Amino acid sequence: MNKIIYGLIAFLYLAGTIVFAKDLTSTNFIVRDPSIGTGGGYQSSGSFKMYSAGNLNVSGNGGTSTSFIGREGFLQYPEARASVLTPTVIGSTVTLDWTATTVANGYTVSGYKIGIATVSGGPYTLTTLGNVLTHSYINRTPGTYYFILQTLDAFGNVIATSNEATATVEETLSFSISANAISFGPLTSAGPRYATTSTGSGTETSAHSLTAESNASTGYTIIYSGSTLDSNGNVINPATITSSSTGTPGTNQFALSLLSTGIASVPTSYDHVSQNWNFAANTLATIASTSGPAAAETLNAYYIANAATLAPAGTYRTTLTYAITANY
Amino acid sequence: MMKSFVRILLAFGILFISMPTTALIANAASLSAMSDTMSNQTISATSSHAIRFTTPTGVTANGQTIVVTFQSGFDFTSKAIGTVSLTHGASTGTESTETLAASPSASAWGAVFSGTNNVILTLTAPTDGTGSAPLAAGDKVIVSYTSANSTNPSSPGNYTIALTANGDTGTITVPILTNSQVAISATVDQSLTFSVSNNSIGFGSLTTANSRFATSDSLGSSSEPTNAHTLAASTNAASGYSVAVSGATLTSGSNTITAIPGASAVALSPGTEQFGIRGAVASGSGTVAAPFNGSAGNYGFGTSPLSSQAFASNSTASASTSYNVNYAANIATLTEAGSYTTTLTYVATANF
Repeated sequence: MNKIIYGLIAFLYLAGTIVFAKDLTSTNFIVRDPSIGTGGGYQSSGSFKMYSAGNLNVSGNGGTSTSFIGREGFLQYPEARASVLTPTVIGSTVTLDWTATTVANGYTVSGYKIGIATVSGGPYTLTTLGNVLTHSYINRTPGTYYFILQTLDAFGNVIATSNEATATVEETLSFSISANAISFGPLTSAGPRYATTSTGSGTETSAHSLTAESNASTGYTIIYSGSTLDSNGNVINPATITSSSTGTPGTNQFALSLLSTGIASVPTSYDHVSQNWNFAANTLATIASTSGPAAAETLNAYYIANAATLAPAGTYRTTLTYAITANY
Repeated sequence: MMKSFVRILLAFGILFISMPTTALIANAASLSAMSDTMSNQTISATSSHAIRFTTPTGVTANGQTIVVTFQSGFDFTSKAIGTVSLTHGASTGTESTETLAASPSASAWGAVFSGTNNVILTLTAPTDGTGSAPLAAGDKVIVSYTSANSTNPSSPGNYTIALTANGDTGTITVPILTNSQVAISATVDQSLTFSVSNNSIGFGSLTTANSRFATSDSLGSSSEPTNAHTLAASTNAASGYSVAVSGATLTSGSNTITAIPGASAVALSPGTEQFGIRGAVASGSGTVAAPFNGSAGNYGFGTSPLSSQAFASNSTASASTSYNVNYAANIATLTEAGSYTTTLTYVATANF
């Protein structure tokens, strides 16, 4: 008889479904109240004990006396059904979504650990998460990645491990310029002018932005090239301005400055945070770079110009060319 | 028979095991430190390329190649080998430059374009495997294209450049933008300033005894003053400015005091009717035109009545230049009595 009962239990365990107790009957015996639930967590008492998940302990007393009825039953063990992990790749970002781990008979899910590896089977680099159902890895370099998800119980124990999901990140590189034509408007010797997309401004303002993103392993480099402002041979001189928002009004000066809003590094001579401005004419000059993969980032470009009292009249023009180089 | 077969099999087995491992494994690895620095990423623009990579294996034997394959869309039609270069070395800054030729030789790498629009460049190692210097394992390699006949794709997007170097492989992604340029403009407005310090001057009473000079208080003087008035001019016109003067000589009814004629300044001569002007640069830069450019005591007036005549000029943009202007008059013994007047007009013209 016990073999039959244990076999039934084993079947239910392997089937992985939640079993609800009911009386078992036959013409030869009656098993009453076979299930002793442990309630909402790990519990013990003098009448039953849980050794570990998967163990079965029969509580109560088996008896044959006519003066009492021996009630034998089944102690339910906690059960967890692992999450199913699904990856999605967009650019250099891998987003993993998963189904919630299903638990019963005592387990509660307190959170998850997500693991990433570059080799199937790991070793995985694990990150502890809360009780969430999504996680993203950003700025991944090109390659194939392997992921698992571990489910944690109330005590931080791993109670289930998901399938291993695989995602391949391709090379990504994007670069854009927010405006292709800017103007200082009229320059004067009285004060600096700042280029804008309309007619310039006497107040310091960004003329346009650059947006860059790359998952290249050693980042990217942004360069510019071009000549200084020119009007039929008359030029506004390239300038190097340090720690000043105005430069030197009354002198011919043309320079630019860049403000990084992310991890990109701007050379000191162009660092807008320090109010440094510079312009290197007719060469490929580096104006920003990263040393590793970088998510989309905006860099604000500022342009300043001052004119000497006798700056020859005319319309001054130049065209700067920006280019990005990913360093794979 | 069976024993013989086993012996043969054993011999092949020993031979197989004793073969150098390198003869069994292809030397293929991933290129590293790959990049392509372009000068312009605008669609359809010409752009230079500086393609850099590090080869783990090296290219050191006759027949081994480096192949650069641009994605379809790039156009290197008519690209000359002379506009491509190959340098390499163990460290940046110490690269050796290789000679490129149509086919490899002991001293030159072969360089051949192929594919649609020449998107494939095959560089074949010299026949001695060395050239200028062995392209050794770990070398940093730079394949450069000038912008001549190097045209970007006409559609924006990301494009790849596939690289192989003796079996080592890698790809580089480059973006092509609709417009990667920023056009910048500024204006400097035209400026011209011109002023006359005094609009009314006088000689007082003329006499045959000595020359009289106009003064700003209209009383005149018998000695030459610093000036009767000044003119000040400035402009940012690239070709500077010119100042002209026009007007008649001193006149009283139908009587006149003869203006000093000629193209050059003339010394004053009391007792002779003379009316003239002399200018000099007081500050700044500029040039007083003849006949008004005489030294002290030498005056000119030019034609009479004076038509517009160059008085001063500056050939470049200049800050304010101040001119001292003096006027001298002499009369003859029989010069008719009367009050003689005239009005001279000065006009400045900027030459933008």
